[in-house]
Amino acid sequence: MDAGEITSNALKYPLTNFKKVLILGILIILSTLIIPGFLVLGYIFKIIKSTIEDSSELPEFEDWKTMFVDGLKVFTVLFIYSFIPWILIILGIWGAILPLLTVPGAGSLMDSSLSLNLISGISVVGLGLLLVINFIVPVAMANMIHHNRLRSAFNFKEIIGKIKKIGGVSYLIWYVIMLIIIWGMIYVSTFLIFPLLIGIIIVPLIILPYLIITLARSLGLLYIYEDSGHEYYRHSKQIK
Amino acid sequence: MDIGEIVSDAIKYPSQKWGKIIILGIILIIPIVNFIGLGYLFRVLKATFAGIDDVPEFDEAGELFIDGLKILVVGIVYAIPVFIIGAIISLIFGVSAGSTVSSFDMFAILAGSLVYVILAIIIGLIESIAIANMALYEGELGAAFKFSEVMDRISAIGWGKYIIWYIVMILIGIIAYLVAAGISILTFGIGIILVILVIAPYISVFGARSLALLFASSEEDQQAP
Repeated sequence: MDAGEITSNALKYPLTNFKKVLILGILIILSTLIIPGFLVLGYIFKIIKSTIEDSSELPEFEDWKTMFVDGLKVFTVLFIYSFIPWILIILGIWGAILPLLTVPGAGSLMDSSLSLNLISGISVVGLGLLLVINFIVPVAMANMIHHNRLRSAFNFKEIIGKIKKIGGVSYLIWYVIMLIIIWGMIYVSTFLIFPLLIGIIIVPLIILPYLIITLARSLGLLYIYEDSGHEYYRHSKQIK
Repeated sequence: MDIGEIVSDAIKYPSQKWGKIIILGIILIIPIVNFIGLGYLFRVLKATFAGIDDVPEFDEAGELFIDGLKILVVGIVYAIPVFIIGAIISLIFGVSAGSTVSSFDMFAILAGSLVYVILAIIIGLIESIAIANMALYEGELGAAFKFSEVMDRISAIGWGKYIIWYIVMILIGIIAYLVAAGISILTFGIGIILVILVIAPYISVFGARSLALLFASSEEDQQAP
């Protein structure tokens, strides 16, 4: 797997049709109304799907009903995967005493629970589980989209097999590169939001959609990379 | 300083040194080591009281560790009355319900929980100032239990102002949580690592700075001629 090629392809991909990036951005802003949120996820679904099917273009914003349903599928997969770890984490936090709000604010709830080690053990296990599970979620998601069946997101044998095919280390490298890209976005966003308030508009409208389109594209490319081999990759996927 | 100034100062404060924020994030996850993290938040309180606007260092980890333990102790002690009262309430309802109608048990549990939550919030309000007071006294554990002093301090800040500040902090916490959830969802869970390692410690440092500034603001007002 050539991480460099995948990454640069994915980063250039949104530029091929910036208008669509903006449309996605508007949907993201509207996501506070919940329904557009699922449309966003549905569009991500579409990107991964069209990438797996060898397209180099950004998919259209049509077939809204299908997009909505697909968005629900994506959300459901994420929800199911994180359900158990989150239950454990919340149990750990509630088990720890609420007055241990050492510093008011959501972040401290996590600290105060972790400090009470008896019950926080549960939180830590939950946290660990969350990290492990989130490691395979991207491939699970791609698997579901490829087979177009919700069930495929939980076909562990296939998913682990796919990760092995990509190569555990290669997958890790890809994962870390994705982390760096996300981190880059967060970093830039804080600069845009805190000093110059204009970021509050620019971030969800431009940066966020750009980021998730890149990630979706990158995941799709990763998924098909091994299947088709290097040559195929050179032909159709390249973005001039 | 009014609440607006406090919050805007505090929200930018951690962004000076992202490296330290990430280190804090890592520290806070590891079970026993996380006391050092709590101690670091305590150091933020102390530094702010000393008028320092820079994010503190991680040196003298032993001191940080002990400060973290002190915070734990304060938390436990303040939790005792809540536990006791909550248990009593539940017992009262439990006994009168006998062992019959299940809907009554539900009511008992709800009532007990509600009292517990309200009590926890009130105690939490007092405890935050108590810990800040302890920071003011350079970490002297007893300072957290000088109740009359703590209550005076809250009066100096103003109960109204304090509660509004508290609500603002909770709202910011909720927004941060929603942003974190959003990032995790949009990045198929990859972003969750950043949430835990970056956003959580950021909010914690923000909270500490904000608390210290609120606390210090009452001191300024008192000294004003």
